[in-house]
Amino acid sequence: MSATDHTKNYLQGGGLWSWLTTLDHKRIGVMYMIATMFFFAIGGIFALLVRLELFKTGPLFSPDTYNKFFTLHGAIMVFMFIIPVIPAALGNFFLPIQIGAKDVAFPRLNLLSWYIFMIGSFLLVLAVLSGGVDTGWTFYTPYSIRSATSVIFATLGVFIMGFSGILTGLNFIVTIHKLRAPGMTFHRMPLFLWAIYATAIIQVLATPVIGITTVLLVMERVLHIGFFDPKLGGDPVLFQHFFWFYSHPAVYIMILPGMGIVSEVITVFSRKHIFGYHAIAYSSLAIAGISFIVWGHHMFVSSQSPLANFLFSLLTMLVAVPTAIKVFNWTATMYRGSIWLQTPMLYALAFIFLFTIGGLTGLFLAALSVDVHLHDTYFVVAHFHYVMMGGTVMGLLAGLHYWWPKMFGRMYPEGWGKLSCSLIFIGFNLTFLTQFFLGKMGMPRRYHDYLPQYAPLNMASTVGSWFIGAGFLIMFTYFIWSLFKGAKAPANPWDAKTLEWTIESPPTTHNFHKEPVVTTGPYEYGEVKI
Amino acid sequence: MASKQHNADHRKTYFVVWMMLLVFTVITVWVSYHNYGVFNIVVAMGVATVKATLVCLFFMHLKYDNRLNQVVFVASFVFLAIFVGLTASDELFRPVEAVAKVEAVRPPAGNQAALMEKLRNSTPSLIAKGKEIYLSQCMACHGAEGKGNGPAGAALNPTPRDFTSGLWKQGGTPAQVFKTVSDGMAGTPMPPFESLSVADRWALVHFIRSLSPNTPADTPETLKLIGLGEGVSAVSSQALPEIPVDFAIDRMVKEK
Amino acid sequence: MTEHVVPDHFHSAEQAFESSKLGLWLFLVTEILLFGGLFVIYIIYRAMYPDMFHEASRHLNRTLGFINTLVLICSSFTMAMAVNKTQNDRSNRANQYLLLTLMFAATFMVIKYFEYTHKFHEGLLPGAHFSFAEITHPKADLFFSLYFMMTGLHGIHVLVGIGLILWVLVRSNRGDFGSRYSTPVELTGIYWHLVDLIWIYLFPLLYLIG
Repeated sequence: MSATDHTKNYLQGGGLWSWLTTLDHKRIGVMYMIATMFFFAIGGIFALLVRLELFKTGPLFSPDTYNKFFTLHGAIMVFMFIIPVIPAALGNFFLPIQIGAKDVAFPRLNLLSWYIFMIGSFLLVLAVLSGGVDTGWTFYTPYSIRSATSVIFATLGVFIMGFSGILTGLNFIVTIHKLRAPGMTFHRMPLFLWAIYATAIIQVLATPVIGITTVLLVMERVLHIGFFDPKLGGDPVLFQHFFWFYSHPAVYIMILPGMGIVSEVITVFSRKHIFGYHAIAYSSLAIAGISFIVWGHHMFVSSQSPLANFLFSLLTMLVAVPTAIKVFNWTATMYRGSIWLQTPMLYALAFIFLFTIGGLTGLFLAALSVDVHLHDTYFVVAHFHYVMMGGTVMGLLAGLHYWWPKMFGRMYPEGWGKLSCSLIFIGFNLTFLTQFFLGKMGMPRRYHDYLPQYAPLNMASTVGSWFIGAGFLIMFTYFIWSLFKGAKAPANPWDAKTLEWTIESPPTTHNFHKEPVVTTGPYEYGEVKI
Repeated sequence: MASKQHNADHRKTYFVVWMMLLVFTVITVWVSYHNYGVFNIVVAMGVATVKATLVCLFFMHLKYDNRLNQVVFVASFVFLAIFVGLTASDELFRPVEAVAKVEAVRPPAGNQAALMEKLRNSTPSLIAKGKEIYLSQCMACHGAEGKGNGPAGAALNPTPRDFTSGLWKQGGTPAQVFKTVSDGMAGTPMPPFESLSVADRWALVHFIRSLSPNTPADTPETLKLIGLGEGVSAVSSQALPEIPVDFAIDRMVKEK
Repeated sequence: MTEHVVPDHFHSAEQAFESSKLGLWLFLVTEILLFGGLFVIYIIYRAMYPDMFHEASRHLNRTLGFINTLVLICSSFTMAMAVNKTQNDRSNRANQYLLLTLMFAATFMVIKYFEYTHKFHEGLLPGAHFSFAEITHPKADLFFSLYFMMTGLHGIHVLVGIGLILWVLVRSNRGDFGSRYSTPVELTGIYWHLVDLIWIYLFPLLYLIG
């Protein structure tokens, strides 16, 4: 570190070794990005294979192979891509810059958490290589206790990756509390940071529970302790409580950062101060809090007690309130704004559209009586893909395009960006809108085959998945192309007001030449420039 | 950081707290040797909480720490309480009959009997289904019309039964034919068809009997052959709504 | 290595110390929720089968549990004193207190070892390995699963604590700490008190409810 010239940009100098031992939050963010994007590609390939099997009736792969495909698609996408991607990659890169700090509070811990993440991922990959896992990403007992596949490697992988999430979350909370630049009050922080802050709280509070859950599952397989095994007097539904006490808040770990990015992009590309700054900021915290009291809605048909069903159904409806507050405020921000339809804005608009569909169908599932009919059908699959992919991934792509010039000092090609955005948007709706209808008709999820009446919609859905695949292929290609051939990016291509746009693209090792002093909020657009 | 005066005070506090912790431990152990009913657990938890609070406030300095750290630490207990409370709202409030019975492994006798009772009465749809199965499973030997003249039957000894003759070797009541289809016929090439589902076998029975001019009805004796009849029907009328958990798990694992 | 250098992304030693401390408290939150999972299982099963817990807990050795509680409380006291002495620049006394803490911690583990081997010997084992004829309740194995999981996880934390105290002792002996910089000693102390705090609950829950 000491030998580094602080005026050089962070990408310059040093070989592979200097990257692998770096304490610079920006390099660690980029390393997270490379890793998660790689896993996203693998998870995506499994998704395409799942859809390929469902293209026509009759088996293309064996049912066992199909079970492994969807388990790996789920586990890789959830644990290795969508949970870490925005906080650990973009959050790591921009959190310290947006509060005007030189680095996160614990740079060593930050690097350690990347290595822990890689070790956990390696174990999950090992599980794939040693025969795969066929339990679904939820690892429900008692099947997961007895399944002959490599459940132990997979759960240990999840356990270890949990540590990485905890350390990252802890690091972010401390950084936000202790390292803000002079004048950077909480209420002058960009909304992305409020979202990351809420996410970090969930990571710290919820992740330990998945830790103990996976440890107990491993103990269940190794020592037969019997907590979750009905044969030894335990209760398998208790496992579901444990699993969802983490995994439901984890859903908000996935979506909150996406909402944060959209809050940034909407205001920048509407050239207007965000409407309801405080409402958006505190609704992030409200979502984080509520996320802990709704997990039982995953268990309405798991022989949960009527009392619990009633409570969880009621509490789940509460989530709609802060979520709707956000959507209303984004919409109000655009009202009479001077909207500039660049690729990041297109993705942000896609987010609002798709996420609203995902959120509203969530209300169907929160209603007890409706859920009994829709539970474990493709309706659920469509719902959470609208939230996770229509929400988080669209948010991620908005953020990636928005910050790409800052991260690498190169512009992406705008035309290609719009093309791939359109392909992904159309393909996404073709793939998943059809699944709402399939679910409503009663097609159950996780089956490798289906009855003839489901054939046309399934075929459409699979074709849609190819559109998405093509869109991402184009995107990966132009991103890599732009690294070498893209136009040089100015310091502030979007004329945005947050701190990261006041420094050069790409930033220098210490971000700021001298510590910034903040005197205004993050979105003071004031008079329209003509 | 802290002044020396401040730290000297702490030393005295530490000593007092230490002594209090030791005394409380002795008290809680002493109480545990006496039976005060429900108060035992109240005292044990109360004393533990007092001790834990002392450790937190003084040894861990939470009393002198800044507000943020206090909130952070207390928050963990709030969320733990949520975890306990909502989990208990399920686990401890399940209606008794909804709790799956975990006893010995046993086959689902009730469901089987109820199913058999329902299927042993012939219906046109069962006969139609039986014909389909007959054409794929039996025709090769027994012939397309059931005359016992199928292409594969010619080589067999004894020759396959001609169903149109009205003769039966092991009886022609539904239950007797069901037993023959299920178990086969010893000493003849007729194999058992256990692999077919119960419903499919009954469909076959009804189709085969529809070919025959001689179709006697079941008596209590013939019903006993397949485990039905007087004594058993009481069970079948109240078929269990669920199969035992153990049995379900074993089945799930085997069927995978 | 006697003069501690504040990392250059902090403004002051004060800011660095406050950050580390907040980080540690957040870490303790994760510890509470990690153990919390086991406490949830305990509460649920105890509410379901109170008689079984009553019967099974009689087969734990109350005397050894009592001694171990005293040992941990003493170690907490010596740890607090070690932090106090470090902050007052009396590192010799601090080293002595750290050494005492270490001895108490080791004593705890030795007693735990004898308890465990005795349980193994009697067949009071978790889950499917349970083979002890005197308890008739069919779900008694759950209690011993809980016993081993809870005390086992706690034991692992004691071992980690021993490692940390050892590391602090070595550095303290080298003269790294004083009134100007004592963060590692303080944080190790707070962690060690948490280990004590968890045991304060484990002891009555497991040993005293018989």
